[in-house]
Amino acid sequence: MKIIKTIFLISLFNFLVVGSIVMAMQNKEIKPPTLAGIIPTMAPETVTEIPTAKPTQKNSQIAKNKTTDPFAIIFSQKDVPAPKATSKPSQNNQPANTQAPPQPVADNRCIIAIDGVRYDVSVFRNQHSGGDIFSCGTDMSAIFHGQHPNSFLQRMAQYKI
Amino acid sequence: MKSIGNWILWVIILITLGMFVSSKADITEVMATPWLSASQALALVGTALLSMSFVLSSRARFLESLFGGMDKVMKVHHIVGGISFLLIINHPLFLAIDAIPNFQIATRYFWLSTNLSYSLGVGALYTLIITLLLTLVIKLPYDLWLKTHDFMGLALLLGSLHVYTISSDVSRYAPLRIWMFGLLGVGFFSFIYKVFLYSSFGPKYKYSVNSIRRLKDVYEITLLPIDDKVSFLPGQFVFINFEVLGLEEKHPFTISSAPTFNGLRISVKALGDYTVKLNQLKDGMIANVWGPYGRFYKGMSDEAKDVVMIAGGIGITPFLSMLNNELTKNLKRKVWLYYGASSTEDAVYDTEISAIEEKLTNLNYFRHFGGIKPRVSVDVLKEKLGELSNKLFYICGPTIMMENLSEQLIKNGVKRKNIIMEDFAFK
Repeated sequence: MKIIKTIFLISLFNFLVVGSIVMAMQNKEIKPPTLAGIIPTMAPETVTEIPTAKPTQKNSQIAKNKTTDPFAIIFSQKDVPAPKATSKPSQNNQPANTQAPPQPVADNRCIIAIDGVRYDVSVFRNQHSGGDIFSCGTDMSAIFHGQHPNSFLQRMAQYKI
Repeated sequence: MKSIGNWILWVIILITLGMFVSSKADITEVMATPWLSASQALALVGTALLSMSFVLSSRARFLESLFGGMDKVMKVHHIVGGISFLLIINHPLFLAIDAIPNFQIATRYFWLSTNLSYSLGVGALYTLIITLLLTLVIKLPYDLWLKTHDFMGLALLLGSLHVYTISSDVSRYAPLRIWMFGLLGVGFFSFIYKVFLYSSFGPKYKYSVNSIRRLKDVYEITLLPIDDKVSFLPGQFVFINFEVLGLEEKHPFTISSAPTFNGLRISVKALGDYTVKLNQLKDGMIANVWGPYGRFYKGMSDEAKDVVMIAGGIGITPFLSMLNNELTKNLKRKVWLYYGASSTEDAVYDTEISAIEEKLTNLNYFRHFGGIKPRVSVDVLKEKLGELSNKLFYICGPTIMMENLSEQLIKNGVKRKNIIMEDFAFK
């Protein structure tokens, strides 16, 4: 029993020391870049989408043109850019009421970026060997490379958007 | 460490580790994340052992066969419980080291957060820490300690929920999931059985207090069966509780009467906070008896072997049962009894043994009471016994005495299997 007691006290001491250091350091830490505010459609929250809209060659091209900004590439959750609100009738003279007005659609996906590539980790976060450590809507490149070798990026390929 | 039970525990550890490794894509994954992998392995083995420590404390009969007696089971329970805690407490430590310099993540491993899975794990860990503090560091009265020890069940429940909700190798690899929840399920059932079901469904017998006698600081209590009587072998013990305020908790007591006696006699030294309350007992009070347990009779059935009994203090009680059994069965083998006590007054059963000696002609009785004769040692034994290696040695007394004598006997050629000891002081 003496050995068990000694082991217990040493373990508890280690736990308290490391725990105290970690708790003390967390406030000094520089948080990972959260760019959801820069590109509003990025956050794992509410985005605007027209349910009937389908990507056409034309608007795909628009999307391509618009995504020259690297932040936009990383964090835009939709390949189809959100339409600008307008009070004007559509250009093909269709009555305004034939098209539903833009409705907010909940997008609960958890998207992160690593090295400029977006990954949808909504499912993976429940299977990640190291626990659910994901900060949705952030660039987790630093954390990823801090914890994994580069070869692990290949395993992430299946979650690439 | 050679019992089947210990081997089973090792197999459980190896299977858990094997499952953990096979849950990884390949070994490079383990090598690439050493702190994380070590942390996960510690958590899995720690959880497996924690579950097993609950099984070991369940008082299930089959455990005695696996480990060689309930006292051995409880010893292994203490060791396994201690090791499981050591492994589990290092799980968050290693995870934190892995997470550094991301202190935001590392903080989750030490304190409650908005993440339920992590908070459940932290809750389980703190419950373990508090209950172990109360067990190992703060000396509580037995009754109170027993109640706090039941909170270990809460730690197991929170730990199980943590394993269930956390995203990990357990959540993504079905064989590991089935294995871990199987172990946790067995552990949890053992806890439920011990705390809630054992009192009703365990091997229970109803007795009533027939007489109480005070022999210096020893209470000698005789119980008579109300219905069925417990069937035991000399040297075994039972758990008893009395339906009296303050004595409701079950305590282990060695039976000091022979199996042929209709009732049960227990002889208890008033040492702890529980045993001093035995003076409240009155004739006719109800006693519930669970058992019998213990393997202190091992080898006794071989009537061809001569037997050496060495008792220290209140450790004389199982030998009273054995000697009375020798007498009633009229056994012819040679028996040596060495009775050690700190003083003649403390040797409260000297008179009874002297009476048995008169009838049991093959009994050689040696008194080693403080101030009269030196303590029992191998040199003392050799004087009368001559050759030691062909005899069975039964030793019961303070732990230090048992360990010293056992060591000396082994050095003098006695095989370990011919030395039978039982630690009657377990909780």
